[in-house]
Amino acid sequence: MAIALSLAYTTTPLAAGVKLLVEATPQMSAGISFVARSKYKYIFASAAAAASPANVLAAYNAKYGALVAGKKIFFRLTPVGSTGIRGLAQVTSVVVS
Amino acid sequence: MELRCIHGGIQRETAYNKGMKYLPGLMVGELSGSAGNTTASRNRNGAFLRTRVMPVNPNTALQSAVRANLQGNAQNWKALTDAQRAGWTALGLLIVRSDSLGRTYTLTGLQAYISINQTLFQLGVAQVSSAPAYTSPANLLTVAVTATSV
Repeated sequence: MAIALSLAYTTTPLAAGVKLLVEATPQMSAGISFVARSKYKYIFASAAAAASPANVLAAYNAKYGALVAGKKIFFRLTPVGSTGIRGLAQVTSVVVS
Repeated sequence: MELRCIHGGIQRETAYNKGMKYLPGLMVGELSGSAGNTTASRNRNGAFLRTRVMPVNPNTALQSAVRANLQGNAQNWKALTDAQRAGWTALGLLIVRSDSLGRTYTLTGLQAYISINQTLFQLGVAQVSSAPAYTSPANLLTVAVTATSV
């Protein structure tokens, strides 16, 4: 197993001109199931029409530091069209293994 | 208005400082935001009041850049033509958001102008003066995250 942080999504690739805006929280207790919207910070934007998965390890490390086993991270992923109009955001979480 | 301590038991000063539930009624409806030292908020268990917490201000380079762009956009709005502002107003009526109480609302022209240009700034794309045609990008169908530390 290697150190990794990746986001797999469908539909892949994103539609022409669409980028994926990734916001994430700091690592927190695995028992937390809800975080306020203000806790999400921008970490990464994909290229237009990027294919899944998105490797966000470097961006996350730069923002919040190294991953710690047992901690939970929440992500909010928003597709953004070339005009800047946002689609519906999807929220998901993962416990670092 | 019914007041009830969210931690149970008899209401005391210390309990109030942690948070106090209330049921919106005739006298007081749903609240949001802060007044004085009290903040009204809501979660899945209902509405409640809590002591206001002053936010931290890390003042990072990215935060400063975003704030400067926000200020620039607010100033640039005044320089737009009437036709451009009308275009943004029309676009704003098509963008639906929900507030912290779950109610939906549409944007004003200024809000739409700033929202779009802040997003473009975040993506490293040039700012726009004229409202784009409304085309919402396709939503993601599934998302799966993998995180390993060793």
